[in-house]
Amino acid sequence: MSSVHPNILLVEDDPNDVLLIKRAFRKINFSHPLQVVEDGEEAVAYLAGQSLYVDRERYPLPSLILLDIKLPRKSGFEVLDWLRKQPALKRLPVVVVTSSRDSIDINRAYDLYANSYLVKPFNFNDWLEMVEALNIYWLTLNEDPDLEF
Amino acid sequence: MGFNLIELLLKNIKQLKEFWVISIITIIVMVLAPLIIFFGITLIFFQEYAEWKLAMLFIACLIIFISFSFFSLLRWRELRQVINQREKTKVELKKSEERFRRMADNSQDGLRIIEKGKIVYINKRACEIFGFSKEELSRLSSSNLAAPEERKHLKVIFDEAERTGEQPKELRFWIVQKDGSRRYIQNRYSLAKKGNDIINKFIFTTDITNLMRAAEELKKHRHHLEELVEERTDQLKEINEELESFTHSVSHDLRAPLRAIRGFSDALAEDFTDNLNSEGHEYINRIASAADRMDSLINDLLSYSKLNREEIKSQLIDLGPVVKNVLSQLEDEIKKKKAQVSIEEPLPCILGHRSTLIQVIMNILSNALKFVSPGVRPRVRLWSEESNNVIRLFVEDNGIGIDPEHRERVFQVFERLHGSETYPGTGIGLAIVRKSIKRMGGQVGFDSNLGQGSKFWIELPKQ
Repeated sequence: MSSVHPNILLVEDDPNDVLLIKRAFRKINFSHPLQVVEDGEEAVAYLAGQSLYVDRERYPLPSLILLDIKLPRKSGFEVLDWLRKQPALKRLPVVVVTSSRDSIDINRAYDLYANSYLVKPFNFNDWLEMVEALNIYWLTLNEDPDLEF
Repeated sequence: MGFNLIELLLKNIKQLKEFWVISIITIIVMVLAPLIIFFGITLIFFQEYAEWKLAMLFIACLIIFISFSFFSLLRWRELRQVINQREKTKVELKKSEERFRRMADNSQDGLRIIEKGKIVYINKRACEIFGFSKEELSRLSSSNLAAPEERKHLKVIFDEAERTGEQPKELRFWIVQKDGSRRYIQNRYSLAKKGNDIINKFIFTTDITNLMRAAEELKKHRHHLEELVEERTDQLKEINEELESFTHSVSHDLRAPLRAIRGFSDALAEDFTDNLNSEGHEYINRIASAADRMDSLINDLLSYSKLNREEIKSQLIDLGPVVKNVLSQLEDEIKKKKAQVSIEEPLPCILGHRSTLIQVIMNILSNALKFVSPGVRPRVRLWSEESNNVIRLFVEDNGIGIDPEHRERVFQVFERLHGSETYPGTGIGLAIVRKSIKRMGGQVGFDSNLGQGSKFWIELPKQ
């Protein structure tokens, strides 16, 4: 079973999508913290615990990362590539959530060891279904790996 | 021919001597014979001392003379014929020599003949090519005629030929004419040998300056062309990359605001349902369905542009499961319209790309289900026919049909024959069909008339 306090790091630059995802999580009564960073560099800083994110009480390491591909400063691919090279963080589950259905993007994500690849749904009911599935699969059924320090 | 005549002539010289000797003897015999006969007869008939012994001697002499003159006559005739033959041969030889000389004199190739290291013949063309007179040319060898920069490597070749006895068959080099102008020539060598001794050497020379310049020009042009092609390819690559990044941003950026419109209109309808009257709800529905339409437009456009960009590898595919896959995807639609879809099995295998083919059959079948008059139950029949190593898959419907006038238009991107209220759609479906089939190396077409249903077919190779 998953950790006691599951929390999610959402890497997403589109405030509309952030709002919709937050609303979807609210609708399924997901009460745990949802941390949001808006670009690739910030995502790296958060995960590495740099500058602002030094405080792990306030900014705990997530049990799941929802990662967009097209991001300012550093793309989702770059973040993923960096993450998989960090001995302490490399096992963190990453689900790519993006709008591209391009096979080039899909294959690249898996080549960089993404755990899953989802395309952002169009209407809200599909958002709900997706968030629910994410909650059940990744935060409930899925066993967390050990993160080494 | 010429050599044969010469041999014949040499042989005839002996016979010529013999001919004259025999001729003289015959003349002497011819003169002596009547004298002997005259004296003999006088002796026998008019001498009183005639004796039979003397008569016998006379008769013997007579027989010897007669037979000798007879054989001389025969031999003389024979030799006469030989002499005649010889005269004829001499004429033939002269003719032949004349023919060959004319040929060599007027040849388009320069010709020099060398015997025992001396030039014995030079034709007119050789003088023209080398730019020297016959007298001058007869004192100059190939090495003397070659351009200074060629001499060193020519010397190597000639020395090598001397050493091994193997003459080169062909040589090409620059020469400098008497007036200093340069020509590029090709020499071909032909040797007549007796054992290891060279009897004579023919050197044929062709001026290939123009040929060489043309070849160089051609090479330059080809190089230029290659550069041009490379440049254009680079340009095209750049444009292609730009287009790719364009479709990439279409799929990402254009859809993001659309998703927001759709998502928040849903949220609005859900969260503020009590604050909106029926008109407000209708507006929200319109916003949502407009966003839906925009989304399917973008989706169709993306799959259309994907068809241009992505590699489509054909392989042998069983049509049966492909059609079943499409039917299961259209199950809801078929149920909703209470459509009757019949498939004439078994369906064969064809050469194609699986997911592309699914999209094609999907588009044709959903059109067949969609374009029916209101209240009519769609009836669709699907079957295949084989001919000349190609398979044709037919989809026949009882729909509204297509005016033959619009034959071409239906396959164009964004081309629609009806308002989106009556028959919703993006107008890309058949464009995708045509492009897909083309990429798989097949053909698509249809038979239809207004109000009489349509029969669409796709044709793909069997193997």
